[in-house]
Amino acid sequence: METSPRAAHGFEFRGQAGEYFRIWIVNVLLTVLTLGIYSAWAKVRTHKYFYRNTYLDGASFDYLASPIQILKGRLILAAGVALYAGLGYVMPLAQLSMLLLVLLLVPWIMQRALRFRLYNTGYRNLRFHFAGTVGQAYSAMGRGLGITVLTLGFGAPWAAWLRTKYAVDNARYGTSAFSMATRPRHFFIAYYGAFAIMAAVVIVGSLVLSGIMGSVVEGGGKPRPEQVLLIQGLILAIYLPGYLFAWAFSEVRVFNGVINQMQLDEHHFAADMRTDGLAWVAFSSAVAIVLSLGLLLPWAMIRLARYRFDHVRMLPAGELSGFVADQSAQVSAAGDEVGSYLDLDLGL
Amino acid sequence: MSGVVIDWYDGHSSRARPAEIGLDPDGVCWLTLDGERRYYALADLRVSDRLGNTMRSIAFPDGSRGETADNDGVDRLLAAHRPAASGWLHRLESRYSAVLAALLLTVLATWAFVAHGVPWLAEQVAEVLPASLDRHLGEQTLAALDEALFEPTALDQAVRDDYRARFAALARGLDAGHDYRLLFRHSPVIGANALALPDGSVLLTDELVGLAKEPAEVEAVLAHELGHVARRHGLRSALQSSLVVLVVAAVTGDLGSAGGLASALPVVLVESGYSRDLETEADLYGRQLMDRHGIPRQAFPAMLRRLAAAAGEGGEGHGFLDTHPSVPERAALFEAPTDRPPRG
Repeated sequence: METSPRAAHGFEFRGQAGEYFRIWIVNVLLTVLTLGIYSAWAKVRTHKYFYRNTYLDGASFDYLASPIQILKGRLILAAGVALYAGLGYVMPLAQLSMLLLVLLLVPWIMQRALRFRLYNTGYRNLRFHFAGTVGQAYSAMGRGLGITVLTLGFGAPWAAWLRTKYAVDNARYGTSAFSMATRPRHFFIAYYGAFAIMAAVVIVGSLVLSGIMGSVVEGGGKPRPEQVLLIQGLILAIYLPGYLFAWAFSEVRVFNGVINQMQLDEHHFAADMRTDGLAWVAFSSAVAIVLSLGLLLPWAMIRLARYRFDHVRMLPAGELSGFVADQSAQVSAAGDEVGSYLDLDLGL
Repeated sequence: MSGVVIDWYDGHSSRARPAEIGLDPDGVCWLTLDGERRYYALADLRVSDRLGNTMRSIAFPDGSRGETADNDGVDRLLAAHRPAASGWLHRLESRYSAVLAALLLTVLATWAFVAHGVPWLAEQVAEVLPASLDRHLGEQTLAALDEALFEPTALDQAVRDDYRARFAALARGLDAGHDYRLLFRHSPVIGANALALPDGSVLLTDELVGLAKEPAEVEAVLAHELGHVARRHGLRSALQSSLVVLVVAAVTGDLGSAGGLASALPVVLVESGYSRDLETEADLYGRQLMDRHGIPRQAFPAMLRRLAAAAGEGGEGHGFLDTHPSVPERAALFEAPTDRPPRG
């Protein structure tokens, strides 16, 4: 076979909003009717729909987790949350120590979540898996915490870089390893840039708002209800787009920065998301979700996935048929559930 | 019968090989790969459920797997050998009428559970929980309130003793689980107000005492607050909020952060609805207590109007976000012509 560089393979997302809406509403109904038990099956169906509609070089990804595994994870999680809430009423001090214990477990939870997520991702009948150890997770997050604390928070992007590097460098597809050459610089630009945008929005926003509120107060007496509503609307109209733009800025910098410097063996990847594009997708989706009382949520999810995958390509060094399987152990869902609850998902 | 064309992966490498599968009339599955035929028992194959128009996979017992976008072809192969019940999820998902029914049923089931299930469950759970929990909750809340809102009372000892005696009379013979006591506080922050804590403590601000024109009006407020305690509203509302958060988490659980924005508002709406229900329950309890002690019903709406006037509200208007029913609504409970004698 030739080994010369080949044409890029674009990722392609083929999910349809109308089709997914029907799957979503049936999921919600069965979840409500079973008092939440079905949510584990709903999660598998949802993930499967998104993975299965993601194509690369003519083949689609697959989500292989079993609902029972996820249900077990959810039951453990629910018991933990109930215990935590109960302790708050009876022994607040014990609640605090439980919180500390959970914080100490965060690296372990992250490692489990990554393992579960990758192990249950398939492509061409080969599984991905995660080779990172718990010790490495504690080392990466411990160093990140140390840097963040010592720099009074200014080094936080470095901590994010350490976490991402741990996640990417230990990801495997069959026996092939992912690696990431992205420098911490990208994370600093992403986080500081987002912070600067947010600061600018807050300064300009409060100047505008104080001007408007000043004129309302000069009108004398208490503001009328419609004036209060107007001001609340203005706050939302200024801060929501501002916040989403700042979010999109950091998201795009990190995403492009990681993907563009990522390798799977000799294969490279390329991403070209844009801040304005992502911010517009997020903002228009948020408005549509609120105005439709949540009914357009499936449409928004499809749209976001399509935007993302439209901007990622694989630059293969050769055929994609040369990957070889590796043996991996069964992993439990508990880490994955706790992980997604605490929003530790790294989005990979 | 013709077969279905699949991409075949051996499970050891990522190489795809074209293959074809089919079923013999006797239920034996054949796989043609590179001109060679293999046979499998249908029961040994795991065929993934249909999900929209996504690729189906057929897992063979040796770890190899076939993938195909020909969903109808796979369904056609299986149709003769599978019970019709399988694939019901996909049939549900592909019919717009079923989807519309699901939508309505979801709204209805959620509403029924939130409006009736959650309060009922909270009441049942509260019944089981020991009274010591009420005491604990009360002590904690009082400590927090004293820190944030209250200063020591400036009322005369004689006034306080008078109200304590009236309070003791009202609380006498209620339930044994609570340790009823009346506390006085001065509060520039919240002004004229009264609060009931789960352990049986009722807090009265100097400002409220000063606002009342006659003792009966204060007694009316105390009767209402006793209703909150006796019916364990502190514990029940805490349980209700936890349950609502659980319901929202269950429904939006898979939706991640996108659901956050959309789910915050319903939670606020639902909780203020619960709060209004509990206020009405306390009003009715207080009315009964007032009747029993010969306190004129008029005293409660009179006091409500004074409080509303002091707070600078007209008392009209009934927003979804209000935590209390409107004053005219509450007054009507006390001013409606009685069609039956007060229960004693």
